[in-house]
Amino acid sequence: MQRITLAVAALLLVVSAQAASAQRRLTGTVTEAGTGQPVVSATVTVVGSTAGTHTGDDGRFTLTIPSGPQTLRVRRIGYRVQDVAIGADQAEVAVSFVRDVLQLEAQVITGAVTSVARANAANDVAQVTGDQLNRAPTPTLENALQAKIAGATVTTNSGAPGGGAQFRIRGASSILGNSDPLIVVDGVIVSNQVIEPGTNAVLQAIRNTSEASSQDNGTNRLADLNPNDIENIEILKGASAASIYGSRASNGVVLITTKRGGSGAPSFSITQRLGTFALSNKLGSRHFSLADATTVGARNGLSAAQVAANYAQCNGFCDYEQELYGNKDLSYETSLSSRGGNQTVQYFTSGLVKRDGGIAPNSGYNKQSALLNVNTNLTQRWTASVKMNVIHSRAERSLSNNDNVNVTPYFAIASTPSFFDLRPQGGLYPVNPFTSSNPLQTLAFIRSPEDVWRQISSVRTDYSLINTERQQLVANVTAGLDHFDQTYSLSSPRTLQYEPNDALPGTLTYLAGTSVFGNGGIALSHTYRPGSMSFTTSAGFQHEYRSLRVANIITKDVVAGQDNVERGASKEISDTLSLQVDQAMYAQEEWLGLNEKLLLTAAVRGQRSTVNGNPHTYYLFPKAAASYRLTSLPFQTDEMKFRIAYGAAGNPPLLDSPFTPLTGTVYSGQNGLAVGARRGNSDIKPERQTELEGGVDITMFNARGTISLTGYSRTITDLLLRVNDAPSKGFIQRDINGGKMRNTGIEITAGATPIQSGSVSLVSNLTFARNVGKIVSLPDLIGRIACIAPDGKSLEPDTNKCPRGFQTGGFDASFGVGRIEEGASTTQIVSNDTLPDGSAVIRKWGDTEPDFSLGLANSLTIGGLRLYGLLDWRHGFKVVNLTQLIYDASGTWKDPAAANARLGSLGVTAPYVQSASFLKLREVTVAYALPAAWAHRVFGGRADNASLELSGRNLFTWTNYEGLDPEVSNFGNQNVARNQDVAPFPPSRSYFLSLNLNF
Amino acid sequence: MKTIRFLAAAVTLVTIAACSEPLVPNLNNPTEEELNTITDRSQIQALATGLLDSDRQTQFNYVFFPEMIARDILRLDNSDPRYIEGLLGSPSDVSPSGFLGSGVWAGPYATIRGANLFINGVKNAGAITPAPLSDKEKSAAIGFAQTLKAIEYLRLIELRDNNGVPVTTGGDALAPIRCKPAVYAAISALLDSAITDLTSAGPTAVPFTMPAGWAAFSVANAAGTNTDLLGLAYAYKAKVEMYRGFLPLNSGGPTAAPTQTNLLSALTALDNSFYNPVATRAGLDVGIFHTYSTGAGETVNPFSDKSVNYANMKVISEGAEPGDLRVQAKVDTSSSIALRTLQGDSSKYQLKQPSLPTDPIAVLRNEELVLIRAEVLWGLSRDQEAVDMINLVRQAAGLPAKALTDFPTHGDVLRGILKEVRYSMLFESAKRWVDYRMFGILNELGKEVGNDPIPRLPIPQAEADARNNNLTCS
Repeated sequence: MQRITLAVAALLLVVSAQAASAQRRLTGTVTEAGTGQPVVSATVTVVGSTAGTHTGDDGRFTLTIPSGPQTLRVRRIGYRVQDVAIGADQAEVAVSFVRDVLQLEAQVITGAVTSVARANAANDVAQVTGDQLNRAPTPTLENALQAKIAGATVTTNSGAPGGGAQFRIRGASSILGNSDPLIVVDGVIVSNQVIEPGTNAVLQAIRNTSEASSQDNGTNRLADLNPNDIENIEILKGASAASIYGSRASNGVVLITTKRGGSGAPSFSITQRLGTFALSNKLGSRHFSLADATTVGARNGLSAAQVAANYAQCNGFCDYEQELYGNKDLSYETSLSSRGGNQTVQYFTSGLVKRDGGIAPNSGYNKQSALLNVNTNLTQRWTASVKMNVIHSRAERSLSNNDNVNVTPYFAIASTPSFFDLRPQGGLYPVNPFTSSNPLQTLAFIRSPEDVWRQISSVRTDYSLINTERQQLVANVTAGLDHFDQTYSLSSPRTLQYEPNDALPGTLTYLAGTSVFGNGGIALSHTYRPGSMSFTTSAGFQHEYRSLRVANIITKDVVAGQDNVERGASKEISDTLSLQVDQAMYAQEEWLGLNEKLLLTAAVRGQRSTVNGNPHTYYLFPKAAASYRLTSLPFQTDEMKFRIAYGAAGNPPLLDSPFTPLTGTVYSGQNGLAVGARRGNSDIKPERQTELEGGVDITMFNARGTISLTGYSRTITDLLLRVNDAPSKGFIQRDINGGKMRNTGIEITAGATPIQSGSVSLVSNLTFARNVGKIVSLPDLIGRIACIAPDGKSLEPDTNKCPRGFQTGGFDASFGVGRIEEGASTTQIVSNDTLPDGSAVIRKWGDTEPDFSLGLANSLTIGGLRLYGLLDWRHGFKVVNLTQLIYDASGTWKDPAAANARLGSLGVTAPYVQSASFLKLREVTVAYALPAAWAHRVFGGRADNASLELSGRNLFTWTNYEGLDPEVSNFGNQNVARNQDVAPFPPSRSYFLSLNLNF
Repeated sequence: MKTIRFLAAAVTLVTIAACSEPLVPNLNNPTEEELNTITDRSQIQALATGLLDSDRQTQFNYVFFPEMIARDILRLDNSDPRYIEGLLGSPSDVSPSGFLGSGVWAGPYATIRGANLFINGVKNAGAITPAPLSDKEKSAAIGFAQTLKAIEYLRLIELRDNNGVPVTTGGDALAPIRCKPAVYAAISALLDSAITDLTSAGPTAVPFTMPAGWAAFSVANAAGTNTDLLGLAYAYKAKVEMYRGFLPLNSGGPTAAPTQTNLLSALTALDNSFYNPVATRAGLDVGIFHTYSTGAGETVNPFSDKSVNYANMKVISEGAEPGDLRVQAKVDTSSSIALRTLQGDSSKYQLKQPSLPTDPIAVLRNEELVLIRAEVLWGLSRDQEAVDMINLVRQAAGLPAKALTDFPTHGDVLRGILKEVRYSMLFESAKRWVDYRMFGILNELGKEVGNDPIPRLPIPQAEADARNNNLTCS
């Protein structure tokens, strides 16, 4: 960290102000062609100079430009770039900007300081604009990204408020390594970590320990960002695009740019939303006749009279899913922003206050966020920008997911037949004779707030060292810091039915985690334009620092009425520290020539990290790409671009891989050190991913249609594997590099404006992606599995003919688990089956990844009315439905015959690996732009325009899956072990009415 | 010019930054690599405590699974139907990849690896602070670790039985799977070496503090008493020699002839162990225990979860005699417990001992040694002496003595001994299941939910995978 401050200080010392040369003032307006509306925040630059500014909310700008005739270049995302000739004496200009409905002319970031025009980009880079992101209100940023990017799937893990979703680009690119893409916000690498809250202390999903586990339904920190602040998101999908970002780029890079100010008088924008969340799916429960109820009751110690009384109170059927998850509290969101500035300083500031009401008692999500972006032109040559974002969120996500004590609501509901009345009588909750907890009582008294305070700040400065017609040399220094503190307090009072079962009534936990991500870098970028071609050379150095500390105090046998973790008899403490430092150097060359038709680029990055077995070794990641545009084409084709790209990256090893840890224990008052489960490897190194991608982008019908086809193949070798070794060696696992895996796929993005006349327009966008992941080979250390003989009727007797493989994830093969197996899909689900000759085998039943995903967005505008809808279709994947197993085993599934059939075939076949293909109506919005005159009048002459919107999210799900939600993961974000459905928090749909005002 | 100045500064900075060499050690745990070189007595203490805790972590499953198969305990757990499906099912219902099939395997082998690490550390300990280890202290420590390894191998072979278990020689090499007789021979040899070390150590205490339940056995070879580590080693020697002696009965049943030499060797070992023919509760309770605690970082007794752990009602219905103090102390038959039914089985009795989070569980007690002696004597056809042994146990349990005439046949004497085994070892040992199987009368445990008792657990899938599914024992 000290190195970066040193760098910045040194830079400031070396630099000095430049004397002004011959200049003049130019003012202008930028308006949208057709409507005449002012275009806000358009970038106005002078070709061949670094002079530049942004338009304000009135579309006006003021700029100091060199004397003589100049060319003004005006750009903004969503509009087509415009070059305007300015005469030598011209002091005022009006620019008419044409909408770029299909985003053909954005700028695509190709490195830390470089970018190229999308028309030339050699990779398939997906972009989502702020508008596309905010078409319907969203609980977190992740929901807003679903079905909008080909090749990037966002899948939620549960219906609990406050986040928890997995962002996966082009399939699973690692088995053991991190599967998250790198997320960069305005040059700051931000954390998307999950700090598991530690509900394991009560739920005991992992027995005999109170330590947090991956089954605690944690949230990843991408949820903190405010979608309203985002100008643009660019997604670099893999190594071929993102080598410049280092080894972590193997999972893709998500580049988020927040909104910036513009010159002009300050303008304001307010959005107020009101709405609600409602339960969108229930499982149902078996209906009992009074006779059956009496039999079941007798088996659990209830007399016939008691059963009859309960039966009457429940009217034969008490619906506990509705009772527990039927809340429809008011949810709101208030969002304010302001931008303005003059030629020297521009600012953008925003604030957000929101609350998502939860459908369960004592659940919900509150978030407050404040952002300030300031850009300044310190001198003609020197620009700087500072950004500060402070976010606070408080989520109460209730209890859910797997447990071993029958406290998690869906297990308790499943265990309790529907005739028994669990509701409180006179304030007292009845003891549940069927299982260890009364779920109504549990959720009424459990408190589990998770509080996050986060600050993301960055400083960026660019200094133009050389600036002539032919050559520019820019130096850039960037520094960023992402710091968050997360606390979680669980309070499970003594009086709850299940608490005394461990003889330590009452549980309190306090978990505190602190994470600091710091990154900084220096870069130089040189552009040389001899004639019509340009050479852009850039090089730089980066330093990254990541630290995390999570401490947890768990107290049991607590004093009643106290939330202080000291007030209890049995205390347990856990503490985990982690620290990682990475350094890298890179260089890149881009050549654009042949009249801006041919782009060639090559780059290399060398990176070293403290997580590698050899921390001093630099690992090299190269990249090369080319694209060629054809312009004069027949059949109404405007342009066709061919592109090909190659790159290398590789996931870094897990922390502590080089070491063989001894685990600490306490026995009879003495500290003990016992042999741990894992053997370390002092030679561990990053995985190696190479990706080759090719594609074609076609623009047709005078920019009213566009289609982009991409095919890719990525091969990953030196896989990080935590192989199960024979436990008789005294350890269960060891970390190695070995094996090979391949992902291949295609992506199609298409956009069209079928109707565009006058005030009616229809814009359609389609994204389609198919990814096939396969394990190509595994090292010899991994044993062979029992496989089926070629005739398909019996087991293969010679196991040497069977592939190597090992089981991973899930609970038991009879339910459905993952298996990493040579020649098979990376994300397959395997389970039991019986061959014709009667022998038992474990074989593939399905996959957690879909055969394909398709997103379709349509936006119809008629005058001031806009109708918008987004569909998300994922086909061909399966989920292991263990919630249904618990219902079946308890005899409470609504269809007892089907339940018994499933239980009978458990272990013989795989009745719980179930198809979960779905079509979801993700977003629907009906918006009406209130007439300007009316807006003026109603809001006291202050409002420039106003609009009213009615929106819904996740309104309908069409699926054959019998569980609560086909998007589910008991283990949270996982490469392979996703799609285990174990008592999740049920899904909900939301409706909001919004009012937007602009001043 | 300015450009060159800037570039020079930038390059210098980059070089300075690039030269820094951050190295991050393991921030959360000490490592095996570090502890190969012992420099301090506290490290020996930590390793020894770790070994005993490692054994403690295995104790619950080691007792629970056999006791459930023996129809003594019943787990009625809504969130986990695998207990009844597997342990009370047919042998194919225990999947080698599930937690039942792979239970009591990784734990004992980790303890064995830890014991080898400990033995190496002690042997190679040179000048350590505050005081160097004397040779006798080293012998005492090594003898203790060898005995603990024997205990682990016994746990392993008792659960895997004819499937065999690997016998390791230390290090990272893959050891061959040995069949049951060979495993018993290896355990016997381990104990012989422990006995040699402990005898030569004399009245020296081990160079570390034992946990409370083992503290009475801290001295290697105390004068004038057998309540020492040597006595403990002899006790396990007796147990394994008894197992070897009764090998012919595993398949032949109670009428087959046991191997007399092993049984006589067991008898001699018992005489050198802490076996003591007394009829008092205090006398029979002498032994080694694992204690549990609610202290910070400690482990609570896992039996204390009353929501799912029940006593199988057959414990009472299959001939518990009224006035049996053992039953009164261990089984909770109060009427306030509601009947619970699940997966076709039900119970309204719970465990009274152990039931608190701080209740200890015995590892080996004198009462077990008395019963082992009874079985050995029966095997040598000395039935009257066998009946005398069970009368010691019955007297301590407040029950009237039995006469040899109460057992018409030689086989009935065996059933009489096994009945006492059930109640003496209730909820604390695998002995009931192991003994019924050892004497070839496993199915006399009776059917539960329509199934015969399963005879053994499979070799875990993880082990099979690492051996290319080659699991034949040698």
